[in-house]
Amino acid sequence: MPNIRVPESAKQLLPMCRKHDLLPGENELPQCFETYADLMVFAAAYGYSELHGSIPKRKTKFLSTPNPIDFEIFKTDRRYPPILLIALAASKDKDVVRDESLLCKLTEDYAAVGFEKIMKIQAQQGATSLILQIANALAQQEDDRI
Amino acid sequence: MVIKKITFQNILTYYGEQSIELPIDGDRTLTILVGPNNSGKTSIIRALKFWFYGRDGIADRKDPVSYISNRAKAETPIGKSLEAWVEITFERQVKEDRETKTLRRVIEAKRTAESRWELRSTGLFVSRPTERIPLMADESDRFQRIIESMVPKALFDAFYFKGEPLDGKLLGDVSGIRSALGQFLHEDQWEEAQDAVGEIRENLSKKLSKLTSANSELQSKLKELSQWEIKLEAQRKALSDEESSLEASQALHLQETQKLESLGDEEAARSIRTKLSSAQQRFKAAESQLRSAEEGLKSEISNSLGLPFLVSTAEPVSRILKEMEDDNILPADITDGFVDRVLSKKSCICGKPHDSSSRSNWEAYKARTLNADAGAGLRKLLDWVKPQGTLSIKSRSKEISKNIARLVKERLDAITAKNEADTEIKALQSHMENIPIEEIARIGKSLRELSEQIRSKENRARTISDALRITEYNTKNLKSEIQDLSKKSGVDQNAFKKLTTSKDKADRLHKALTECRSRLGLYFHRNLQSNVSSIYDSKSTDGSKAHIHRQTLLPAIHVNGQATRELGGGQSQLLALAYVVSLAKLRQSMHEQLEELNIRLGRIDDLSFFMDSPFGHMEEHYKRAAVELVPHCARQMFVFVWKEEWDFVRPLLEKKADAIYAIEFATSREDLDKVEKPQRKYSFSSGSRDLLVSLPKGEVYPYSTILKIK
Repeated sequence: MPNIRVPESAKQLLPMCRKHDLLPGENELPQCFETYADLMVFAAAYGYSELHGSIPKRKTKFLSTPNPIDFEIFKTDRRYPPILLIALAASKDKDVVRDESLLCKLTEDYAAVGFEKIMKIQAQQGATSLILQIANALAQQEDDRI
Repeated sequence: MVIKKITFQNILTYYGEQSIELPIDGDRTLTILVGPNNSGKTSIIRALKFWFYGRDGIADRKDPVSYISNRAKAETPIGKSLEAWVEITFERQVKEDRETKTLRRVIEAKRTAESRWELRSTGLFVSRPTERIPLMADESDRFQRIIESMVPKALFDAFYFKGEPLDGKLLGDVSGIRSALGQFLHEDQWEEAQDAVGEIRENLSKKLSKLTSANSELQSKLKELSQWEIKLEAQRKALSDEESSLEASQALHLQETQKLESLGDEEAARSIRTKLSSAQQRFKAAESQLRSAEEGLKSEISNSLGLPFLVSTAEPVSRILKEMEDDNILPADITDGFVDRVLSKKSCICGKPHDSSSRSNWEAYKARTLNADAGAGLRKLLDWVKPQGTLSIKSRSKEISKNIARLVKERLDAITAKNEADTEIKALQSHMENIPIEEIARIGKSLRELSEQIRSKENRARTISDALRITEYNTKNLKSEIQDLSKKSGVDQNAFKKLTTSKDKADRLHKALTECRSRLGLYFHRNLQSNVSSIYDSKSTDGSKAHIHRQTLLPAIHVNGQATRELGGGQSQLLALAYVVSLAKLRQSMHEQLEELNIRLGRIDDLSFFMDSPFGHMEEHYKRAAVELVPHCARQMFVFVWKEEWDFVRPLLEKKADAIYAIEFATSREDLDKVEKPQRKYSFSSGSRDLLVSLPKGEVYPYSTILKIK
C-alpha cells in the first residue's frame, strides 16, 4: 500500500500539529493543524507555489518518526482534491490520477519544498510571527493576481 | 345708750304732748319724778317699753288702741283718725363717736263708731327736724334692730328698766337677771372673743394640717426633684463626655485630613487606581482579541489546505479534466473495479459468454477508467477549477485572503491596543510608585472610620441632648410646682414655725381667755359678794347676811347660813339696792381696769335705771339706807316716788337730784274728794303744789300732765 512520508525538513515544524507530542528540546510553535496529514497537504501546496509548478529536482530525505502516513488517510473530500490538483498541474498528464505512488511522491517532494520555505520564514521572522507570515503568504497570492 | 329726752302724746293717761328731759352731764345723774298714786308713773315705763319694742312691748300684747289716751279718743269725732306716739332722743356710741338720734313710735287709729276704734298702723319713724318731711318711716326695721341690740327685750323687765325692783320680784326672775349680769360681765364679748380665738385655733389647726399635708407632698416633690437633679447631672456629664469625645474625634479627623492633604489627594490616588484597572482590563481585552485573531489565522491557515497557493493550477487542470470528460472518463460512472468484476465472470454484461474480443475491449476500457477514490476526487475538482462559483479555488482563495486580511488587521489592532494599554499601565504604575498610596489609603480608611465615629457620637450627643432637654423641662416644671406649692401653702420651715407658734399662741390665748373669764367671774363674785355684804350686812338689824350665788351671781339672804325668803321690813329691797349699787361700782371698776389694760369694750357705764317706787314697804332703817344708795347707782338714775315716799326722801334727795318732775293728775271731783287735801299737796324747795286736781268742766276722762319742778 502506498503511503506518504514526512520530509526531514518538517522536523522542527511538527509542533505545529495539535496531535504532536512535544519532545524534550523541541520548541513550541503555533498549533495550526490537527494532523500531520493536514500539515503535509498544506506544505505541498506551499511547495508547489514556491516552485511555480516545476517538478522538484532534489532528492528528498524523510523522517523515520513519525511513521509514513497511509495514503488512504489522504483519500478524503478535504485532502484528496488538492493532491490530485497538484499532481495534474505538475504532470499535465491525466493518467497521473491512476498512479497513487506517483501521487504520494509528488506530494512528499512538494511538501519538502514547502517545509523548507516555512523554515526559512521562521528563521527570518522568528517563531512568534510564523503564523502571520504564513497567513500573509496566503493572502499575498490573491494580491499578486490583482 | 343714754336717754336725753322722752316725749309722748296722748299715751295712756297723758293727754297732749308731754316731755321729760333727762340730764346727761356728769358721771352720775339723778332725776326724780314725783306723783300721786295711779297718776301715771308706771305709764311712763309702759310707754318706754312700747317705744322700745312696739306691739311686742305692750303688756299681754293688748290692742295698741288701748294705749291711746281716753280723753284724746273722746275728742275725736267718728270717722276721724287719731295719733298717739312716744318719741325718745338718745345718744349712743358708734365706734369712736357719739351719735344722737330721735325715733318716734306711732299708733294711728280711726274712730269708726261711738265706742269702736280701728287700728290703722303702728310704726317707728326717724325724726329729721331739718327735712321737709320731718318723719321718715323705718321701713327696713334698721332702727328697730339697733334698739333691740341696745336693750334686749328679755332684760327690760328684769333689770335694766326694772319698774319695781324692790318689791321682791328681783329674786324670782332669775334668768333675766342672770342675762343682765352676763352683760355686766361682758360674757357675750368674752364668748365672742373665745369663739374668735377658737375659730382662729381651728383655722390654724386646719392650716397646720393642710400645711403638714402640703409639706408631705412637698417633701415627696423635693425627693422627686432630687432624683431628677441627679439624673440631670448624670445626663449633663454624659453629654459633656460625649462632646469631649466628639471634639477629640473631630480633632483627630482634622489632623488626619491635614496629613492627607500634605501627602496627596486620595481622590487622585483612587483615580490612578481606577485608570490602572481600566488599562489592565483593556490590556487583557487586547490580549484576548490578539489570541482570538491568531486562533482565527491558525484556523484559516489550517482550513485553507494551501488552496491560495494553487490558484494558478485551476486553468490547466481544468483543461485536463475537460479532456477526461471528453473521453467519458469523467464523470466516472464505471470504476475499474466494475470492469474487474465483469471480466471475472463467464458472461459479459450483455449476457454472451466472454470471448477474446470482449475481454480485450473490456481490458482497454479498464485502462481508461478510474478507481472510486480518484473519481470522487476528480468530481470535486471539477467544481474547484471552474472560473466562478462558490466552490471554485478562485472564490475560496479570495475569501481566505479577505478573512486573513481581516484577522491580520484585528491582530494588529489588538497588538496596538495591547501596547497602548501596556504603556499606560507602565506609566500609571510608575506614577503610583511616587505616591504613598498605602499611606493615603490608610489615612482615608482612618478618616472614614473617624467620620463614622463622629456621626455616631453626634447622634449619641443629640440623643443625650434631647433626653437632657426633657429632663430639664421636667425639672423646671417640678420646681415650678414646688414653688407654687410653697407659695400656696406657705410651705417652708419659717412659715411652718410661724404657724405653729401662732397656733400655740392661739391655744394659750384661748386658755388665758378661759382662765380670765373664770377669774373675772371669780373676781366679780368675790367683789360683788364683798360689796353687797358691805352694804347689806352692816345695815341688817336681824343678823341676816347677803349671799351671792357663785354660779348665778344672784343675791340671796341667808339667816344662820340658810337661805330664807320670809323677810319683811325692807331687807329684800335693801338687798336689791345694795346689789344694784354694787354692780354699778363693779362695772365702773371693771371698766377702768379694762381701760388700763387697753381692753375697750365700750362705755359700759352708759346705763339708765328707772326705779318705780323703790322705797315703799320699808322700815325706816332700811329706807334710809336705800336712799343713801340711790344717787350712786348709775349714770342715769330715774326714780319715781309717790307722796309718802317723797315726804320721806325729800330732805335726803331733793338737793342731790339733778332734775325733778311732777305729775299733775286731773281726776273727777268724786275721786278727788276721797283724798284729803294735805295728801294732795307736794312740797318742793320752790314751794308746795297740788298734784291731784279736779278735771276741767266738761271733761270726763282723767289725765296726767308732766310738770318740771327743778
